[in-house]
Amino acid sequence: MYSAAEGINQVSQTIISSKPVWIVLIPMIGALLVYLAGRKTEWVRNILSAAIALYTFKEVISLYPLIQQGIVEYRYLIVPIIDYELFFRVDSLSFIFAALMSFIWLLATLFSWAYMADEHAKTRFFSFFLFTLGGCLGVVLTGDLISLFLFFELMTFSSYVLVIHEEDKQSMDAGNVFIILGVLGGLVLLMGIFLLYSAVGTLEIRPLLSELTASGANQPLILLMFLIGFGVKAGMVPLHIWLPQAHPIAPAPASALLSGLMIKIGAYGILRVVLMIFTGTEVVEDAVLFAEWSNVFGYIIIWIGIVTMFLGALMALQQTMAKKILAYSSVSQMGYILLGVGCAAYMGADGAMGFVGAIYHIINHAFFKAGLFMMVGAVYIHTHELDIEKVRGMAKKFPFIAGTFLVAAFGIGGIPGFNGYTSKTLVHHAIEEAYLVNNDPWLFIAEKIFVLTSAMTVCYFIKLFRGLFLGEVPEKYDKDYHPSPVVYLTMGVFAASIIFIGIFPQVIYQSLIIPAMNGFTYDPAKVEYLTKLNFFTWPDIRAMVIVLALVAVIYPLGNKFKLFSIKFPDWLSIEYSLYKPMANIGWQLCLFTYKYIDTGVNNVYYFSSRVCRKLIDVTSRFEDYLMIFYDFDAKTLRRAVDITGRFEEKMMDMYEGSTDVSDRAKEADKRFKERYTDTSGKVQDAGESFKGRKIIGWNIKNINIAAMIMAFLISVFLLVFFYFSRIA
Amino acid sequence: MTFINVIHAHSTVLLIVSFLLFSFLMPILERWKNSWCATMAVAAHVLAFVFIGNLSWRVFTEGTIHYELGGWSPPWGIEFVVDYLALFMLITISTVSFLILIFGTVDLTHELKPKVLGLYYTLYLLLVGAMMGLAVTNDFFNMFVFMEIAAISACGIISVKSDRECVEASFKYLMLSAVGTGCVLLSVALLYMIGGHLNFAFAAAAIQDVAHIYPNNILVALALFSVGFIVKAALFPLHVWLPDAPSSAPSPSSAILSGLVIKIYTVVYLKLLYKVFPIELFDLLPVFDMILILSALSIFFGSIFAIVQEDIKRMLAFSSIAQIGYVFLGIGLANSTGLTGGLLHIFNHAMMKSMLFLSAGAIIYCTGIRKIDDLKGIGLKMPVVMGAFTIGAMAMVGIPTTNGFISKLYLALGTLDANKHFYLAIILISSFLNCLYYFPIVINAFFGESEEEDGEEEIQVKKLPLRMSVPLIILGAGCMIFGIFPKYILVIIERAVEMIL
Repeated sequence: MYSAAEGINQVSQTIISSKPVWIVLIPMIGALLVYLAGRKTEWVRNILSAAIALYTFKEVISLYPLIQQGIVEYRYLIVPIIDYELFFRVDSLSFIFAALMSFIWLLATLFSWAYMADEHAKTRFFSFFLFTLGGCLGVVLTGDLISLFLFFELMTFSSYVLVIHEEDKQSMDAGNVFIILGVLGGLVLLMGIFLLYSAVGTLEIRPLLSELTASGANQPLILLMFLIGFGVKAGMVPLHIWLPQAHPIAPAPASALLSGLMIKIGAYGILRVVLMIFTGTEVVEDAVLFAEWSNVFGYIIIWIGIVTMFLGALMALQQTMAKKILAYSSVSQMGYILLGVGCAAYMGADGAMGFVGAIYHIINHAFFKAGLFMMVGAVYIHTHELDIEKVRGMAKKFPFIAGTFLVAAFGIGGIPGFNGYTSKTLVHHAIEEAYLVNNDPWLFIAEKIFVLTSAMTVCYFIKLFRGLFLGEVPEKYDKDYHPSPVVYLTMGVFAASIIFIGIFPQVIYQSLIIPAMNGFTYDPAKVEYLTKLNFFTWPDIRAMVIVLALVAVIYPLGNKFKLFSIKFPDWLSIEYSLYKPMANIGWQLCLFTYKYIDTGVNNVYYFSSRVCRKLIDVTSRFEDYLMIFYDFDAKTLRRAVDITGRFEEKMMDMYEGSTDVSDRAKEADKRFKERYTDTSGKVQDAGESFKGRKIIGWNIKNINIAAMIMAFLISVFLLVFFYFSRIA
Repeated sequence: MTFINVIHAHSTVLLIVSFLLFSFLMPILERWKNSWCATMAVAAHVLAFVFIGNLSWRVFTEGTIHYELGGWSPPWGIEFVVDYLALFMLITISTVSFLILIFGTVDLTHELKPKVLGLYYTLYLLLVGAMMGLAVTNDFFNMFVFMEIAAISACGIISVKSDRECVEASFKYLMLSAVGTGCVLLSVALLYMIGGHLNFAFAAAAIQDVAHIYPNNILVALALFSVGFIVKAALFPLHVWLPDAPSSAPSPSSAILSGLVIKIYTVVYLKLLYKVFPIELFDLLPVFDMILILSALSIFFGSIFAIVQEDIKRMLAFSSIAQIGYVFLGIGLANSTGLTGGLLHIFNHAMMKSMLFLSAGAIIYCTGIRKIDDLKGIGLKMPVVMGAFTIGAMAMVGIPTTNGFISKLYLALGTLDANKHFYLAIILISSFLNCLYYFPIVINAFFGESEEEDGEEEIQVKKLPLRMSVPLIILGAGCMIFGIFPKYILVIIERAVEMIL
C-alpha cells in the first residue's frame, strides 16, 4: 500500500505503446460512425455512442498496469525539419484525468439517452459529444505542448457545438463569448508555447527550469501567457465570464461535462506548466522562498484562487436559476483547485499537500458537479423550467433524485463522510502550511476567506435544495413523472461513488493520487508524511464543524435580510464594465481605421490623380503660353525683317540705287510676308513656320537676329576658348 | 520517339508556348466551335501537367535545369531556369488554376455574356502562361514582358463583366500596375546601365564587381523594384486596387487574382533580392526590415478592414491583403524557417483563398446572395460549399490540422529564430482578428435560429453542378491533407529555401 513513495525518486521505465493514440482516435472515429448511424436509426446511434464511450473507458483502464510500471510513450512524426511530432506521454497524472473523463463521459452518454429524447439535432449532439471526448483525452495524454494545443483547440471547437445546442439567441450569444474567449485564450497559450520553444528548443512537458534559466528567457512573461491561456478555460476570475453564460445554456449532459471536466483541463495545464515545466528537478534543502518564478506565480495563483472561489460563491448565492447556481458554483470550486495548485507552486518542493489537494478536488468535483448538473437536468426533462422560484417541491415527485442530489450537495459542502470533505481538508491544510512558511498575514486572511467561502457553498446549496425540492408543488407541475431507468442508474452511480470516496478516501488517494506525484519534484519526507495521512482526525472535523456553525449564522441572517436575492446592477459585472466596452471600442476602432486609413489611402490616390490632372492642365496651358510667345516672337521677327528690309532698301538706295537688288529684296519680303501671315498662335502653324525658316546659303540678307545672336555667342565662346587654351 | 525527345529537351519552353498557343487559338475556335473553348482551355492545362511532370522529374533527378531559348547561350540569349523554387511555383499555379478553371467552365456561363466567353479563356490562358513565364525566367527584359502580359490579361479578366464597378476596378488596376511595371522597367534600365547584362546571373556578377562604384544606382534600382513589386503584390499602402478588383470581377477571376497573381510577384521579388542584388547591399539599406514593417502593417490593417466589410467577396479580398503580408513576413525574416513558412503560405493561401472565393462564387451562383448578413442558415442548404468555406476559414485562422496552421507555425518559429517577438504577437493577433470575421459567417451558416417565422422568404437555392462542387471538395481535402501531412510539399520548399539562402 505504501510502496508508491519509494518509487518516486526512481527513474521510471518508458514503455512504448500505441494505446494512447487509439484512446484518442476511438472517440473521434466513433463520432463519425455515430453520425452515420444517426441518419438511419435512433436506437443504434444511442447504443453505439454508449458502446464507444464504454470501449474508450475500458482502453483507458487497461493502461493502468502499464502506468504502474512507468511512463507510456508514443511518437508520430509530422513535420520533418523542426522535429515536430505528435507525442503521447502518459504518466499517472494523465491517467487520473483520462480515467475520470472516460468514466464520467460514459455516464453522461447514458444520461443523454433520456435527456435528448425530446431535443432536436440529436445526431449532431451525440456525434460532437464523442468528438469532444477525443479532444479532452488528447489534451491530457499528449506529452508536448504543441500536440496539447492541437487537442485543446479541437476541444474548444467541438464543445462549442454542444454549448449552442439550443440555437436560440441566448445560446448563440453565450456561444460567441465562449468561442471568442476560447480562441483568444488559445492564441495567448500559443504565444507562450512559442516563447518557451524559442527559449529552450523543446516542447516536451518535463522539468525545464535549468534550461530556461540557462537561456535567460523572460520567465514571468511566459508564465503569464500560460496562466492566461489556461486560465480562460479554467474559468479563472476575471476571465470567467463565458462560464456562467455557456454552462447553464448547454443541454444538461453537456453542461455536466463542461463544468465537471472541461474546466479542469485549464487546471491541468496550469498544473503541468507551473509545477512541472517551471520547477527544478532537484529538491534543495532550506530553499529560499521566492527563489523561482514558479513560487512567485504560486502566490499569485493562490490569490486568484481565493478571489475566484469567493466571487463565485457570492454570485451563486444571488442566482435563482438552478443551472446558473451550479455554474457559479463551478467557478467557485475552480477557485479551490487553483488555490491548491497555487499553494503547491508557492512552496516549491514542500508543496505536495497543495498538489494532492488540488488533484483530489478535481476528482471529487468532477463527480459531484457532473452529478448535480445531471440531477437538475433530470428534473428539467419533465418540467422544462429550472427557476427555483417557479419549480418547487420536486422532492415529492422525484424522491430518488432528491436523495442523490442531497448526497452530491453534502459532497460539495464538505460534510464528513462524503467525498468533498477529504479534498477540502487537504486544500485547507495546504493553505495553512503556506501561511506557516513565513507567517504571511495576507495568507492568514486567505485562510479565513476559505472558511467563509466553504460556509457560503453550503448556504447556496441549502438555498437550491430548498427551492427546487422542498415547498409546495406548483399546480402547473403537479403531475406524475416517470424518469427513465437510465436516469436512476446514472444518478445512483454518482451518489454511490460520492459516498464510497467519502467513506473510504484512502482507496483513490493511495492508488491514484500519491503515484501522481511521481515525476514532480517533491521532498521525499513530505511525501512520506502524506502517504500516512489520516483524514478523519478531530482538528479536521472541527474545521468542518466551524464551517457548519458559520452556515447556521449566515443562512438565517441572509434569508432574513434577503441578502440572497440582491440583483447586482449591470455595471458592476465585469462583463459590462470591462469586456463589452472593450469589444465596443475594438469595433469602433476597426470602423475608424477603415474609415480613415483605408479611405485615407484611397483618397491619397484620388488626390494625387487630381494633382496630376491639374499638372497636365497647367502644362498644356503653359504650352498655350509658349505658343503665344512663339507667335509674338514670329511677329517681332517679321517686324524686324521688315525693318531690315526697309533698312536694306534704304541702303540699296543709298549705295547703288540698283533696282535689281531692291527687287530681290522686295521679293524676299513678300516671301516672308506669305510665310508669316498665317501664324495665328496655333502650334502646327508655328511649327511649320519654323520648319520653313531655313537659311539658304550664306547671304547677308538672310541673316536674322537669332542667327546673329547665335553667331555672336559662338564667337564669344570661341574667343574664350582660345584665350584659355593659350594660357594653358 | 523523337516526339518524346522533343518534350524532354524543350519542356521548359513548351510549357509556356503551349499556353500562349492555346490562348491565341481561342478566338478562332470561338468563331468555329464555340463549345470547344472550355475543353481546349482544360486541355492546355492537362498538357501543362505533362510538361511539369517531366520538369519535376528532371529537377529531382538531375538538379536545376537551364534552358537556352533558340540555342543562344546566356549573355546574349534568353535563359529559363527551372530550380526548386520555380518548380514549386509551377506546381502551385498549374494545380490551382486548373481547379479554378474547372469551376469556371460552369460559373462563367452564368456570369458572363456568351459573346465574351471564348475571349475570357484567351485572357485566362495568357495570364497563366505569363505567370509560369515569370516563375521560370532568368532574364530582366523577359521578366518585364511577362509582367506586362500578366498585367494586361489580369486587367482583361477583371473588366470582362463590363459593368461600371468592374471597369472602374480594372482601370484602377491598370493604372497602378502601370506604375509598378514602370518602376520595374526603370530599375532594369538602371541595372543594365552599370552591369551591361540582362541575364540575372550575369547581371548579378557584374553588379557585384561595380557595386562600390555605383552604390546609388543599385540603391535606386532596389527601391524601384520594391515599389514596383509591392504595388503588384498589393502590400498595405499600395493595396488599393486589390479590394475593388476581386470583389467585382467574376469569381474565377477573383480566385486567380487573389490566389495566384499577387503571389507570383512576391516570388519574382524574392528571386531578384537573393539572385541579383549583392548581400552587402542589405547592410547598407535595411530592406528586410522595411519589408517586415510593411508586412506587419499589411497583416494588421488587412484584417481590420476585413472585419467591417459587408460584401463577402470584398471581405475575402481584404483578407488577401493580410495574407500576402504573411508571405512578405517570411521573406523579410530572411532565415530558413521563416522563408519556408512564407513560401509554404504561398501554396497554402493559394489553395484556401481560391477555395473561399470559389465557394463565395458558388453561393452567388446558387442563391445570388452577396451580403454576409443574408447568409444565415445557408450551410444546411449548401453543405458542400459551406463545408469548404468552413475549412478555409479554419485554415485562415490557423486551427491545427489545417494547412494554415503549419505555415503560421513556421512563420512563428521564424520570428523566434530571428529573435523578433513583436512579429510573433502580430501573427497571433491577426489570427484572432481572422477568427473575428470568418467565424460569424460559418456560425451563422450552420447554427442559429432559422428566421422563417419572420415571414421572410426562404432562400431559393439552385442545385450545385458537379463541376463546381468537385474543385471545392478537392481544395478542401487539400487544405486538410497538407495540414496533417505537410511534408509532401515541404520536400520541395525546403530544397528551394536551401538553394536561395
